[in-house]
Amino acid sequence: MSLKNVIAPFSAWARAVQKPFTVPTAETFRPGADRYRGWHINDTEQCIGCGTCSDICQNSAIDMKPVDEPNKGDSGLRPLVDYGRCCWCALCVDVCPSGSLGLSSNYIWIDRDPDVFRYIPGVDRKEWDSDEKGWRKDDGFNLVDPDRVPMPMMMPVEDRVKTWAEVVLGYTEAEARAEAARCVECGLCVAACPAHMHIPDYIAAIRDGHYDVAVNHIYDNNPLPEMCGKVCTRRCEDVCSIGVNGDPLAIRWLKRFATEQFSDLSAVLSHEQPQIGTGKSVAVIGGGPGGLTTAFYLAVRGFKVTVFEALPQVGGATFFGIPKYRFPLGSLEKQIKLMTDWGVEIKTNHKVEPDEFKQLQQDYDAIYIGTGLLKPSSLRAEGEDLPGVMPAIEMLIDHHLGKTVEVGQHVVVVGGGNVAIDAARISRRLGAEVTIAYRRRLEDMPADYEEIEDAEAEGVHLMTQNIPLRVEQLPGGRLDFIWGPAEMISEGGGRPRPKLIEGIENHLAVDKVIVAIGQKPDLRWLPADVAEQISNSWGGITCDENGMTAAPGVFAGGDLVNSTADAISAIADGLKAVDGIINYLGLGTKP
Amino acid sequence: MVREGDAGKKNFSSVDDAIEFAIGQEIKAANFYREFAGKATHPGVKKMCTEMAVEEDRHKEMLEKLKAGLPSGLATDRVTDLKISDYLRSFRIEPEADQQDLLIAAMKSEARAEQLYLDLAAICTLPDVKEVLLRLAAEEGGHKDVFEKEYDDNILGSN
Repeated sequence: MSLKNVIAPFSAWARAVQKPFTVPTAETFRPGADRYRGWHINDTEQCIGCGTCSDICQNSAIDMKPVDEPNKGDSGLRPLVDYGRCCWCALCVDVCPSGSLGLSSNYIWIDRDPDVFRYIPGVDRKEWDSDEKGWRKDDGFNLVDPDRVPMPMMMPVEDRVKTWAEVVLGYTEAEARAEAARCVECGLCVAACPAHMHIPDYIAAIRDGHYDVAVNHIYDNNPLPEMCGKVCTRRCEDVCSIGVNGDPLAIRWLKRFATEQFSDLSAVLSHEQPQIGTGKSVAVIGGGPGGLTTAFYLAVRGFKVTVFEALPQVGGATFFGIPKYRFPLGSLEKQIKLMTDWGVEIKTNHKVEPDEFKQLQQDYDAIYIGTGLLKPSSLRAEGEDLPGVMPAIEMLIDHHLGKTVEVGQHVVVVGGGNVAIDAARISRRLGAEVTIAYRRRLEDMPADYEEIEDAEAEGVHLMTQNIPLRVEQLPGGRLDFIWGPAEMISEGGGRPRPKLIEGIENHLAVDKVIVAIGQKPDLRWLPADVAEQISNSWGGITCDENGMTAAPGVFAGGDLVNSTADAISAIADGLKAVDGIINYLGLGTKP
Repeated sequence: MVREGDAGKKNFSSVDDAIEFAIGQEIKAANFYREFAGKATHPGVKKMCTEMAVEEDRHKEMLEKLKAGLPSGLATDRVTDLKISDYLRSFRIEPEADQQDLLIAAMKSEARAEQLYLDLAAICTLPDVKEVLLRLAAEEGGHKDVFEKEYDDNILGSN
């Protein structure tokens, strides 16, 4: 060994007395570049807690933590970032549906406590929170396609009003799978759905081509999915995270696609359930969505269930209230057939009267009431008793029962809900010129916005801020629909209300005035003592958290009980009643 | 329940006189609702009548406080008038009446009460009594407003 090699290790000791080249902190802090990927920032007002950032993180560096109560379209969770794992790839920012997440341009953070490097951006305040530089999601760049796959519709519009054929044609397999691939499986939709359907699960199954799996997920808590897939109010889509900056997933149409893959649902559905209801019987009065849901999920559990329906066909408002160009009768009959095949007994043209109700209370272990709102609210204007003034609900029922409905050449439909729109579009198909007269503004109309758009596309004329004053007879059997304009007034920040502007009268000559201002409950088919016991001051029914009324063993749901007045809410009430009935009869909680 | 022709055209000689008259009207209204609750056959109408009677009792208590010189909460100005009852036709309420019928009857009754106090105030020669009558008219207008908003929300929800 040479002398140099012996001395070399000791030469390092000379550094001990020299000034170090490194410094403990930077003398010059160079600002990060404009698009530098530094520490996370999050606009917590814009953030909806969807968790997509956590899902995409390749290093599991993001956990979702509760910071607030969940709210409509907001899980109440916010991302917590762990800088022991984060590699600043910014995938979390690029995928963020709301655009709330970003990376600041700040990269300097010195602290002896390693725990501080796990924090919730936007909640745990940092000096870089207001940094306008840094990495943000590029406009126009999306990891998830923000645009919905278009739904094929019957075109042109002129053809639609000549036929009762279904207007919405449905997705092809390729279209459905492409649309399903847009789902980030955040689950915000599940909370928003009144029935809490397993939406991400069935969408994932559709994406992967497993349609039988999708249908089984759907049928776990919805026995009328083909109906929902065509006419649901789709609260799920209102909160879809992709819908924040793009088109929400077409959840409704994907549900339709899945169920339409099978003409015989029995072949793909698994209905094995513990037969806890053997020997027990339940009477369901009213064959609408709520009643059918209750009947189906009790029947598959071994209960003997009988549905009593006053009309010739079950379905409730989904039968008589929804025109067949939206929801064909064959679609309803397919779903009903599954129910009867699996043990639900249905008696149509059977209106329960007070004496029979008393007998049902003796003969059955529980009763479910789902008779809905069939009594139309009347105009209470002068002239409403003239021939040619008719309630929309009666017109719809007659039409769906195959009776001839004469509407003449020109119709005015009073109202702005889905019943009004349906009456208007049916009248168009019967050859009439149609005007809708609505008291409030277009944005206040409770009807589905797609229905309003389709009605206008089909030539229905909308008159808003229109208050009916009276109806007078004209020569030749025609009617003079006299109306006054309304101004909208606001009080205390609530919804503006229409107020008549006096002194102005407008006239519209029509053949028919169709009144669709609303429906109200009518429980006079019940024994008077039961009706008084279970009704509230508005004539509907009040139920407890289990769906049971003040009469023991009598349950209720649907439009008589809830204020949302849509089919999916009625289905949710039916599911609640199933649990309630099982517990009431001491059979344990629903498995 | 104020009916056509109630009170004629009275010229009250004192504030207490006017308030006593108004208390009598509230008692009449509460009695009407309670009596109708006994006759009503439509499910739920009994309950609605009872609620309305309780509300009329509350109005009576406000007037009694006013008479005693206590803070009453009585209206000072007329609230917005939606005029819903103006274009609904009048009818005689029957035991088979439903909630829509009852609300219309209640709206029109409050409208008549408001007009009655306005008419009484118009012929009144005493400034302090006139002021009370105008406040009573505003209060009845407020009651009408409550019923009209309930009608707007619950009966005209789709229109």
